[in-house]
Amino acid sequence: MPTKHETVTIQIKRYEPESEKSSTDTFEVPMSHDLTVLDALNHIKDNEAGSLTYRWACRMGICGSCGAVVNGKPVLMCSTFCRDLKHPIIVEPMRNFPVVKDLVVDIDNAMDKLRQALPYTSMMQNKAKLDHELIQSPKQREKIEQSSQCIKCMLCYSACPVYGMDKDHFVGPAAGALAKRYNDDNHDEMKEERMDSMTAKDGVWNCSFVGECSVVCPKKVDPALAIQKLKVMGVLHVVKSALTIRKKKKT
Amino acid sequence: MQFHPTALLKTGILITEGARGEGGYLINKNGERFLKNYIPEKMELGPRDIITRAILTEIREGRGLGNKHGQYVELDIRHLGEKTINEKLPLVREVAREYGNVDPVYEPIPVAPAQHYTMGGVHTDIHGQTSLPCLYAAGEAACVTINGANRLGSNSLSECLVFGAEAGESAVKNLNKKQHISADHAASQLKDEEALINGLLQQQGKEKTAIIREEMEQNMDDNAGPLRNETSLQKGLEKILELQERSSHISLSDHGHVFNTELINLLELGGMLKLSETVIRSAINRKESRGAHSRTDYSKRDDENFLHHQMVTLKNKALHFTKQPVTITKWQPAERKY
Repeated sequence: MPTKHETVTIQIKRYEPESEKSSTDTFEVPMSHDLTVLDALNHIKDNEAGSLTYRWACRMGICGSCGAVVNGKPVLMCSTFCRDLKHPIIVEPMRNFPVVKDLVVDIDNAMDKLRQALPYTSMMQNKAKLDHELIQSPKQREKIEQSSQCIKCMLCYSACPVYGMDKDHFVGPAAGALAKRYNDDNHDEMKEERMDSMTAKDGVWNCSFVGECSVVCPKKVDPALAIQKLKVMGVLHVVKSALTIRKKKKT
Repeated sequence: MQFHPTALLKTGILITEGARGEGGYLINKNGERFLKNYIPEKMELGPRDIITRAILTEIREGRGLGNKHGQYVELDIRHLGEKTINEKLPLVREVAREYGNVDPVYEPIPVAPAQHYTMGGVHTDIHGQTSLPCLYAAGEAACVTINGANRLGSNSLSECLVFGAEAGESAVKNLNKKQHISADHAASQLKDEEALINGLLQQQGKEKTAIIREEMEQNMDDNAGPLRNETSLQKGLEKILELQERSSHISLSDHGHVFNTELINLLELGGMLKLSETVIRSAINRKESRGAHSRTDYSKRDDENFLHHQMVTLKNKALHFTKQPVTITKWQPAERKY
């Protein structure tokens, strides 16, 4: 099948940690209809530049490993087809994270923020309580369906300008969606503690509803909406906490 | 080695068994549901290894379809209708459209069998403990064995959850047991490993990791797949030994010590070649068919001579095989019929 262009030009932002050198390298890759950006990188690494460094695993958009900024947009490289992009294709590491090497970034900070969402049910901490069947009806499952889709790819953190400006005082999009997911789970018994966490100084408040997180999310989780809802719940939670004396829960 | 019958061509991305569970059909070049000639009582709901062999046989005997990406049969779910497909099989539709250029609501999906799961693995007891003190393994990497010669669908996830938890708790429980490795021993082992890594970083030669890996993949597909026999296996073994030798002539361009993925790929290639050799030698030893291991030259199961596990160890860089009895409790071996 004849293709419009025989090769595609790819420019990749490189960073070598031991010499601390940044550079941009340009490559020509044979073009085909199904070529993804990840395919192109693998071709380059196998044939031309063995030191080209990037993360990937499933190559089908489900593991969240291959996030990068391609032509200015945070995307999963395995799900981004060269035929849909303006050439030359410009590939850079995700923003707002320290670069380790080439396209590999350190996402520890964002992973830590996920922990702030207390992403577990109390059942998971206390096996002795598991003396009966845990039921979740299809309708109850439906409530957490969308927020459960998050694959922790961190593209939302790359896209979020608030996180970019001040990492310390914002819990971030994925963490917000994760907190909402557990709040909405019919097995959850930890809403109070979770809302304490989300309404803290480093919680959800700094979100200014830019909405870019939801635009770039490859799984349509809509973290922006999750955070707005958490803000509303947060206000009620803070007011209620101030007005009532809460019994300390025995664990 | 378990093959999954329905993977997308070229990418090998999995099309879930659920597509057949919901009522999908497998069709050959002549438009027929060919499984009626292999497993008429179950048809598309038959076991993975039987359907895999059926598809490969159809292709081998000229009743498969073909395009530039290879040979295939068709998985047809059109008759389920758009509503059912969107509700019950949304990922199938998404994957087929994005990676297969096919909308299964309107067209059949080209599929062919692909390698899917390894039943074998690092041997552990029921607590995840390996033969090396303080080392635990769980999930697909391990072999307790709970899957035997053929894993049931969905058991890989539950296996991870159950044995992952068990191995973790077991490791914590055994923390206080005095199982020490002497500091001298550890230091000398560390030296050996560093020498190994430095050796790889300094290797010279004109071979390429990607090419040897591709030749290995093609070789395993051609000679050690679900339709294997003595001739193909011996041929396959010869090729793997050749590739092992050639891989010592790969030179790296990345000599860095930070996140060196080129080195990691080379290390993994060495592991894969050793594993390929293990798979082929085990298959040569096992002159019978059992579960997912099926030989065209020994098509029957032989409990008298082969009701055992094969344990493989590495001694002086060579593979050693011993037999291990099978733990049989409630379910006695019986004839496999459907």
